[in-house]
Amino acid sequence: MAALEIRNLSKTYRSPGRKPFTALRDLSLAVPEGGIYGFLGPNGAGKSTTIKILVGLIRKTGGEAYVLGRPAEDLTSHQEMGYLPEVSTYYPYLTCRELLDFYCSFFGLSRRKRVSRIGETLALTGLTSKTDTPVRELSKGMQQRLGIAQAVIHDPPLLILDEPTAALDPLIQKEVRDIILKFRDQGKTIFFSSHRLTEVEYICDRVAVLHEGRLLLEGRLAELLEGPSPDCDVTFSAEEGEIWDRWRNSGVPVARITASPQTFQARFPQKEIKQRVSEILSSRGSLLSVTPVRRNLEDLFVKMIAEASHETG
Amino acid sequence: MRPANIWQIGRLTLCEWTRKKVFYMFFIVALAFFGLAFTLNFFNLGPQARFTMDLSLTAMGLFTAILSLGLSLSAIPQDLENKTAWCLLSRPVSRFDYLCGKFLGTVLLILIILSILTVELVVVTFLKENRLHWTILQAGLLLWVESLVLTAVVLTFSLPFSPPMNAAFSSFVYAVGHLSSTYIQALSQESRNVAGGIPVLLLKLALPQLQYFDLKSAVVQGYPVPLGYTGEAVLYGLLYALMVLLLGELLLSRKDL
Ligand SMILES: Nc1ncnc2c1ncn2[C@@H]1O[C@H](COP(=O)(O)OP(=O)(O)OP(=O)(O)O)[C@@H](O)[C@H]1O
Ligand SMILES: [Mg+2]
Repeated sequence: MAALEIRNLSKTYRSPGRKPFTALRDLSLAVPEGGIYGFLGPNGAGKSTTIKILVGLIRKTGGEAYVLGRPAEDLTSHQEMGYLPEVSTYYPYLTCRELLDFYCSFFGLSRRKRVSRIGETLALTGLTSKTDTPVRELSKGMQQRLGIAQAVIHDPPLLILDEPTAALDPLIQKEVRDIILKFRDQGKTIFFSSHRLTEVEYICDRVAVLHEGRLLLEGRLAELLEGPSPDCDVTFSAEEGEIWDRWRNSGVPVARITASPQTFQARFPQKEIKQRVSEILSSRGSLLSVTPVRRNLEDLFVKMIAEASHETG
Repeated sequence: MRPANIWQIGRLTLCEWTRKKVFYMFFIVALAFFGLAFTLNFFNLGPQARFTMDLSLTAMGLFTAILSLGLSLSAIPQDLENKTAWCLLSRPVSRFDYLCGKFLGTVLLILIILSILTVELVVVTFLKENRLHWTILQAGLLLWVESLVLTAVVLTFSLPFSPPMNAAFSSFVYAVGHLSSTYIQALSQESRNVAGGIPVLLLKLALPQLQYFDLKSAVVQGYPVPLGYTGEAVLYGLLYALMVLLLGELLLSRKDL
């Protein structure tokens, strides 16, 4: 069974006095159980719309959406799912403990179980020292961690996180990433939307890319990025003014590595490498390294979006 | 519908208000007002005491209405605006549970305040006249039932309407609700035929008959109020509030958050 399954999902927002707006068209997607699934797309692609349909906050206008095998509108599917909204404030007058206890109270857990879950979750998200602090006194990063805590408080097998690391500093981004990895290691399924491609590349097993409400690309990350790369980076050292000037003047993409003097790097198609290396050696330079350029998600993403935008005009 | 969910949300709503300082200010001012009204006329019996009682009950009624309006006007819009409702409704909590929870929290708060005011009134009249006015308790109870109706109306109106519009419409319902039976009586006298009778009947059903809950004159005149009447009024209020909440559920379940 897929953790999430979406078939021909569409959503048209209608509000009185405005033109209807179709945010999702015919989207189909299946998220397997276990692992981390990245849901990507530029601003306004429809990521949050999809997520809000899955968690039952908005109504779809067509197609089907299943959460752990049950229709998304079915309240029982909410039992086994945790959700972190894209923006949200938590009741400012409650303390972290009270807030988590409130959110935990809808799952029929015993008092003892609740107390132990709250302790574990606060520890996991690094908020133990803030247990009795009112929410309004937390910093943004802490509030985001509290958001993750409320999503996992009932220990659900499926987590749906809408931009969990948006607006956080790099340190806290890493902390949040580590928390997500911990959940994966516990066997949970994590479905999260993000703009941070390096982060996605780093932690996701599969990704889907959405653009203007349509699916552009979907698959295992390793497969998507696989394939012989056409380019290599060549690092070499040479006397100033020699090959550096010659290449620069003839338009070869070569750059000085600022950290070390007389060290340069250039990127060439694989078939040119042999000739370029002999050029370096023949002008008394020394070759430091030749590394194939790994295809990365960012390049792939930019290329796909550019192509798609080009097609739609 | 899950009663446990409604209770949790109701408790949270209650807690939300009791942690706001402005609420205590409001409360102290109201207490002081009643205290003052009575100490001023403490030793007066007869017409003056009646006047004070009338004034107190009128003030209590208005205070309850303002409280219902003030507490429920922005309760749901605010939750939707700052998205606190998102986390809540992604749990196994139905929108009806949510609506009823908000309702419960609000009317519990009003119950606490009204009980204190009512008991204060009973005690003060006891000190003054040396006898217990049970009808004051009945009057207090029915004021609370009236607040159930009003709170349900304001919460439901807050789904399609903005708070200012809601305030206007709800005040209208309150005013007309207090006049409705007189007005409808006049209308039904005019239209005795069936064709005219149906709209009048519909109007009668749609508008809350709020003067049902008004025991002021009985208390002031010192008439006993039969328990049967009180029971009937409570039942009417509960049913009316429930119908309005069901309508609210219809509106809320169609809303995209
Ligand atoms: N309530 C609404 N009414 C009308 N249009 C809406 C509504 N909510 C979202 N939209 C539109 O639907 C489209 C998709 O929005 P959505 O929030 O799903 O994007 P997103 O992929 O999450 O973007 P971001 O990365 O900026 O969060 C946008 O063009 C947005 O303007
Ligand atoms: Mg979004």
